[in-house]
Amino acid sequence: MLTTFHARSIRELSPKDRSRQECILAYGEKLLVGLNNGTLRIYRVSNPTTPTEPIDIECLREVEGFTKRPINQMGCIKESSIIVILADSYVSTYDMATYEKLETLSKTRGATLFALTSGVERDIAGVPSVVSRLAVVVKRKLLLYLWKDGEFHDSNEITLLSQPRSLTWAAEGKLCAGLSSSFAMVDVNTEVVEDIPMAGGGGGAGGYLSWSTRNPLATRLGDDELLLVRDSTSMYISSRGDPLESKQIPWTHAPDQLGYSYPFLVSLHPHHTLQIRNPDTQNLLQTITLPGATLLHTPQHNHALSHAGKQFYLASPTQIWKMVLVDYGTQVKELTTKGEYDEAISILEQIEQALFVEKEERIKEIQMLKAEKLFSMGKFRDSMDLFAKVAAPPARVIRLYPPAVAGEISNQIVEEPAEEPPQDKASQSEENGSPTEETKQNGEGEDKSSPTEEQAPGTPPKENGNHPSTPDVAAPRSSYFGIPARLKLSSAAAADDTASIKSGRSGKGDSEAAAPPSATATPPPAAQAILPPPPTNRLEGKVLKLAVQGLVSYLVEMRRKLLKYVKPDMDPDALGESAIAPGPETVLAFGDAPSKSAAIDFSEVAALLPPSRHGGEMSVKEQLENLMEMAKLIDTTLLRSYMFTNSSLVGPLVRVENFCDPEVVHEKLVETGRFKELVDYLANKKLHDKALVLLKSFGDREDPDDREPDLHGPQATVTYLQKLHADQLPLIFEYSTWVLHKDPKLGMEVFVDDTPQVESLPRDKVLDFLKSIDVKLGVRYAEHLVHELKDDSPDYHNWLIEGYLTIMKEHKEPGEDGWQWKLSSAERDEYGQKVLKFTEDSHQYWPEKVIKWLPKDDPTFYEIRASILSRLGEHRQALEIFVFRMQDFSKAEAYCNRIHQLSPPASDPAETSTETVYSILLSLYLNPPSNYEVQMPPALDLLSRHGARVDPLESLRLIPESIKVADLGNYFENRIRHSNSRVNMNRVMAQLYKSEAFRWEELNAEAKKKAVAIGEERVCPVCHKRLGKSVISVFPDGQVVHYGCANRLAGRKGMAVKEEPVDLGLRRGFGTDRWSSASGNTGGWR
Amino acid sequence: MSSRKKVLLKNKNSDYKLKVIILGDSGVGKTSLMNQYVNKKFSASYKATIGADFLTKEVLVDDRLVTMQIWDTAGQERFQSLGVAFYRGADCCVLVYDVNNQKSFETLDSWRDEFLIQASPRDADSFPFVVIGNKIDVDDGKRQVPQKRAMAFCQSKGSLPYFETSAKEAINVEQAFEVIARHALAQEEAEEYSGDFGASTIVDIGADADRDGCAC
Repeated sequence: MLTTFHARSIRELSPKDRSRQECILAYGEKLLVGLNNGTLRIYRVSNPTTPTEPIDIECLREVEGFTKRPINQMGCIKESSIIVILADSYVSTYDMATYEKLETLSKTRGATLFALTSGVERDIAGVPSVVSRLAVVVKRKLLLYLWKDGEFHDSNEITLLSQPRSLTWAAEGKLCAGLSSSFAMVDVNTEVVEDIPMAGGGGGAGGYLSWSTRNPLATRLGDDELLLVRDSTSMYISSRGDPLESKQIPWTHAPDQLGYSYPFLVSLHPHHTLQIRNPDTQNLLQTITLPGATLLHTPQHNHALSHAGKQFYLASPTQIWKMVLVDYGTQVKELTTKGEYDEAISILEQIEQALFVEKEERIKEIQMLKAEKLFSMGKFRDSMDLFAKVAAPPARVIRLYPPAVAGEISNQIVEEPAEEPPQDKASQSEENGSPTEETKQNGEGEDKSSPTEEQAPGTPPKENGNHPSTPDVAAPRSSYFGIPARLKLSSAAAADDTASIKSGRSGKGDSEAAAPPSATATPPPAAQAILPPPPTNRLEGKVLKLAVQGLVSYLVEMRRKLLKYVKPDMDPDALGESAIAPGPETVLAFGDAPSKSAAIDFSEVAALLPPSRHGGEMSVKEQLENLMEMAKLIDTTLLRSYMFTNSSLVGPLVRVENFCDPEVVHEKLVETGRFKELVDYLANKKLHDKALVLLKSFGDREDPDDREPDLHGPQATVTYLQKLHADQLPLIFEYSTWVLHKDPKLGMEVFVDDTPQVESLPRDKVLDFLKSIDVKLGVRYAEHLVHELKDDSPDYHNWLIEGYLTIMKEHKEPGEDGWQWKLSSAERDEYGQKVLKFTEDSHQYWPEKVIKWLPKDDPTFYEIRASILSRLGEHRQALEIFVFRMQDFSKAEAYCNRIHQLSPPASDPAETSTETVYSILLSLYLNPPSNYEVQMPPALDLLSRHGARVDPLESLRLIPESIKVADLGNYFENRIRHSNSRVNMNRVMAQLYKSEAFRWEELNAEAKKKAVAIGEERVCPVCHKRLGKSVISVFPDGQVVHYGCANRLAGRKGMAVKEEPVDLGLRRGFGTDRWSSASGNTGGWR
Repeated sequence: MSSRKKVLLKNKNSDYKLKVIILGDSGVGKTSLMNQYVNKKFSASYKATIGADFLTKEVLVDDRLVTMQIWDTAGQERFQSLGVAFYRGADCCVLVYDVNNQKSFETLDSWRDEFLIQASPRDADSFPFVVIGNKIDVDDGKRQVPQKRAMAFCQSKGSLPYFETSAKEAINVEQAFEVIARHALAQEEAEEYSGDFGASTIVDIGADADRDGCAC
């Protein structure tokens, strides 16, 4: 049972006084009491700020004979300074200051009830104005008045089904009338009456009976809700009359009177019992029994918020009680101590922000408490969802778990009393109430609550009947402090202990949690509270597993929120400074510095940030640091949780952006032998060298490591290195070395894979590196560059040849039989073929350079040399090699053929340089240097086969006289045939050219026929001068320009005018033929 | 007992509800794939998806009527706008990339990892993913991700089904989603099985977990 109000008796008529109080009205500080003899008493009542403060009451005036008969009902319109009184079946208005009657509404004869409202209404044009309305019940009729110009004007009259027993203004122009059998919503403007069907109800005849016996009750709740009550059946409706979600108020007795004292629903029941309920949860909060109390007065709904909770009076015929509101902070605190979190949240939500400054923070705090309670009850998923919903600081949530999950911030560490974030209720109350009072209560609270502390938490007594209540203040207080409480309020000394424990521990999360959002600027140490460690359930085994599963969902949600703001590779220093650095803050005015730092909008995680521990605005840097710290905690805990429940998710976590604490990751992953994940983590954190060392330690060993056999061998390292970018080149080199030594083929994959990363590596450096390890690797890479990647830079081509040669030239260690090649002859031949082919195919190497590398006397290189010489155009030297060194005439001939074919097609059958290749060969055969013999048979062979390709004079000169003509028969025949064919060919060509010439002549003639007329007026389109009689050029499209302007126009048209007119005959000077089309098809000679 | 009840319910509705989530970089064609599959429509104009949107389609998988709820997500921001609740209960995740965009392929891995973290499936290793390389209709010369490499990736992630599609030309879309539905259904049934145990008794889960968990 909560204490929401204290009933304070303020006035009691002396036993001698025979008058009885019939009616009360409170407004402002005034309290009007109507007595049964028609006397009106006017009191001034002070509003106490605390429940114990004495209440001053002063009788200002007593108007005897105010009315002839006792007053039935009173009401006031403050805006118009009038009091409305129903007495003697008439409704009359009185002046608020003088209590003199202004007017009696004559039409209201027989009135039984009235209802007043005043509020802002909009007229048809939408102009808002303050409108006061009065509705009076006269039998079945409803008389409606409008306050205007200092008096009531009757506006209209509505007849209802039966006589209204209660009347409540619902909204602008809407009136809810409780009829004898139902409720009706009356629209005073349209006069539409709508029946409100009442759901549920007592049912049957019994229900019907109670209809008639009890008055229907209605009260307005908040701004747009009404509560209708008939007997003990209740119904919520909107202010327009629509039924809301059906929630029944569990009355024990049907209420006699109903009221709403913000934010509580109050009802007066038989036996003078006052019940105070939360209209939202329908829970009974407090029961007060006041002897004889029959009159309930609650403030009119349109009263300003500052009156909330005031002007709530109860009266019996002889006594008046003022209901003093216990400040909200205390109430909420009391509910929270009892674990009635839902109730506390519900009440807080109904209280305006203005009345409870830290409303949001407090709601959040209580929700966290609730989540903690759910947690302790084993409802982990619900608990965590709630934590996630209110974005609870991670440290606070995580600490609920054992160290295996929470790490060092766990509050289950050994026997150290775990701390709950301080409640700071006292400091809260300090704002609302008097500090001295509060501390006193604290001390008292501790004493009283300790004996009952062992009582099961989370099951506070609910609605256990009426409290013994006297108008005395002490009674509620004892109930307030006598309840079993989980919360142990600490004395100042205890708080000091807490502080020292806290500072002793190094966990950063602690300091965060120690300043929950509800913390005020300077929380007094005495206000700190300690929660004993969650009593029974140490989380273990399966339960813990479930709990951790819940935690995971919370962490993931928080992680998602945080990641919007912080990235693992972010540097808060840099960011913070860059945002704040411009301009010295001390000089700038308030608005300036924060606006700069507001470049980052923290709104979404604002709730997470421990707000303004030292009062002032936090810098962006601080906030970022906080967030990053938090993110670190979250991710690290997430990792631990995964290790605990769902280890297959560890991999994904360490691979994505994360803030995991490297030490924890390392420890956890090594502990469980998850080295693959560890490598992934290190890779993600760009700690490549560590990762690679690890990979090496697993890969470079004889037998697979049992813990992670998959990592054995170089493959993992290769895969890793392939993903690195060019900026990690030193690492790539460093760690590929062992792989290259171990498995060169696989190792090369690091450099020759076809992924973009690999291809982006700087080729020259890679080549140098590989060369330094092994020439063969260099060659392999160069081959890759040249053949696969089609790299045309001469360096690689040159080097490839060099590499080949180096390999071929490698010697074995000098042995008994002198030196030998390291490679077998077959291998050497293979390389020889490669080089030869490459020197023939590639056009990018520098032959001059390469040729110097070739050993002169090694037969293996003869052909290569020849090939390079041919590239240099030194055909003679190349052929010399074939003829003299290799004595391979067929190759010599083949060489000639190849060169012959490579030369441009013999369009011009005249002598060309290639023609001489055969001559050179012939001359080598027949006219060798002095120390070689004449090679007659191959020479004749050559002549017979390629005689036609050798200059006849030259060849004849070369042929020694001693040779028989018969031997040359083939040659001559060949020669003559060739000449004949050329003669014939030339004849054909001549004829063809002739006919071609005719064709041109014809075309020319055709073109000449075309004429252009040059008149006096015709101007050159280029220079815009008259053409006159000057020399002109005519373009194919008919444009005529000056001869001198032709170039310019042609340029514009993308044509090129030939410098010299084509000389085809006679038409110089006319100029039509001076152009030729660049694009090829714009007209021309057709 | 509770499982029997559930089966009865299932038979009555003859209906399975499968939640499929499509992920991938912005502009790879997630929305287009979904639209092609569900509405058989394609629009060449690009409009970024905001938040998430879903379409449903009823399909027959092995004579069972299955309602697929296909969630299309915004590729721009990673998992920052959609909460954990969104991913809970997903039965299959479709990873889409653009074969003409190397980067969209490289991020597949992190999309997968992020999804696993957000969805926290019971068994992350066996959760069904389907990889789709979209936009194969675009000129061959522009292609950046060879099929071979994509296949190798899928292989390395546990033989994920791989499809090359064109939402524009409706190539392979139907086939891909059929496989998606099949996998999702299998997942749903597996989940349900283990889920039932989880709901009925806590001990069951624990016993299961103890067996394959660490003995120390």
